[in-house]
Amino acid sequence: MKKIIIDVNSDAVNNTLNVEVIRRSDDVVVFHKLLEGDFGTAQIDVENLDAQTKYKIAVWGATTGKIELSISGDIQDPNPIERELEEALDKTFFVETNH
Amino acid sequence: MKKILLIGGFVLLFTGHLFAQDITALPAKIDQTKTANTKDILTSFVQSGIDNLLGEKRNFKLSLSFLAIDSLVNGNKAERKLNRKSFFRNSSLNLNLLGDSANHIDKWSAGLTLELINKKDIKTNVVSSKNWGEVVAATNDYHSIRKYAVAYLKLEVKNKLAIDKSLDGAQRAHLLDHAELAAESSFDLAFENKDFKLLSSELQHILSDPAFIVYLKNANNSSTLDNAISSMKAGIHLPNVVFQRVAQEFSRKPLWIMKPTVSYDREHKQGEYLLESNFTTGFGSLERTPWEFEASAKFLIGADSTITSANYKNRPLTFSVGINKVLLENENKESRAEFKFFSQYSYKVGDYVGRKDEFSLNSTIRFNVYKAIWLPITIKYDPKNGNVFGFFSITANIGN
Repeated sequence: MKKIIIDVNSDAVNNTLNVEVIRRSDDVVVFHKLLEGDFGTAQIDVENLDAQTKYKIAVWGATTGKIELSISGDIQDPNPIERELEEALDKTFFVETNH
Repeated sequence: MKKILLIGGFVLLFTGHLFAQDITALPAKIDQTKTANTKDILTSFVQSGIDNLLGEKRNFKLSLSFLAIDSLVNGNKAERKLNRKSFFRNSSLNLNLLGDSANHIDKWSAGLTLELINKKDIKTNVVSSKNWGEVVAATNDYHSIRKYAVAYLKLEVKNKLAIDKSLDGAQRAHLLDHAELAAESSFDLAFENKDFKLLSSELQHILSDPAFIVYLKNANNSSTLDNAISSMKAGIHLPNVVFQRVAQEFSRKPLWIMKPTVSYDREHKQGEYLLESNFTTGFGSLERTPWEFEASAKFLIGADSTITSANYKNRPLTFSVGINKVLLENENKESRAEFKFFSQYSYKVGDYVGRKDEFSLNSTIRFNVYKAIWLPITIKYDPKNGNVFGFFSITANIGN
């Protein structure tokens, strides 16, 4: 089974961050996590994913500062996806788990 | 001494350049709602500058926020921790060197800007649950529309591909994959540009499809969903609109700072002590450009220049009360022109020979020329000594 690691980091006291992982072949939500308030740094482990499967990672919410996001783990692209999100935010990332 | 002044000048410029890069890395978007009047009172991270480089009196300035000093000493890890503390962000150490044309230091000054109350900083103050709830509802509604619009589009594409017998399974999967990526990219583009007119024609068509609305509402029964759909169809970025309204509320909250400063004139062996206090708070409808009330007090102990030896007989106590009005904003609610009207009363404490008190009415209008550069024009009226039109002086300075 495969695992995706989502690291989040925020300097703001006002945060609402939803992280949802969807299997793209059938639009099934396989994981949902809500982080709120002054969460600082957090690591979200999404486990028991299928190998060689395409997933969509939707991230949405709001922050009055900045949320740094990094996606890594058993994904085909060995480089982690890194992004900074501000204000009202909604962003979708695409990954495919490796063999 | 000449070398020290030159080295000092380069150090100020260099540190200014270094921190200027850090400023861009700070979360700045929300600060756009602050008026130029508020930014006058606070040092954002670091300010440095040299005035009158080629003139007879050269002025080197450096203001370092406590956060900048801390990050210089402890690195970025400490900065992150301290980033939450408004006091460190908005309190600063201010240094000033005044030199002559031969780069001798004639006068130096050192002071502090201390934040006593700052409710304006949305990054360090907790947003009320009601306001934050509206922001979260708007982002949730937006995300829900996006999620189900993409899913609906995939269903439509899948049905179309199913009846095309010329395609095999892999080709259908590829085209479906492509359609989904394009739809998500279209939403990203519109969201980041804050304009849902940029959505693809397929997605705009889906937003107007009654069957999609039924499909969406079966999955999400939010009471604010209808407003979110109609806003998106009109091209409006509702999460940003709600977020900016909350930011506007914070821009109207109070700020109070205290500034003690000590100066020394090496040439005349003359010290000078200054204590300043500034208070500002906003008011007025959120639908209109903001008003700000400002009150300040200043007490200076310095030299009476009519006496040749060092003395401390000039002790003006000054009070100022006024209002500042944002006249023009751009589409991102950034201030572009401001008008300030204030009255000022000054009284010379102690045995000062000469006019003891002075009352003036002042107004300043300033225009944002480029980024942080403002062009202020000040008109001062002294009703006691003035003629019919009073005494007017017009100055134009370029600076932050």
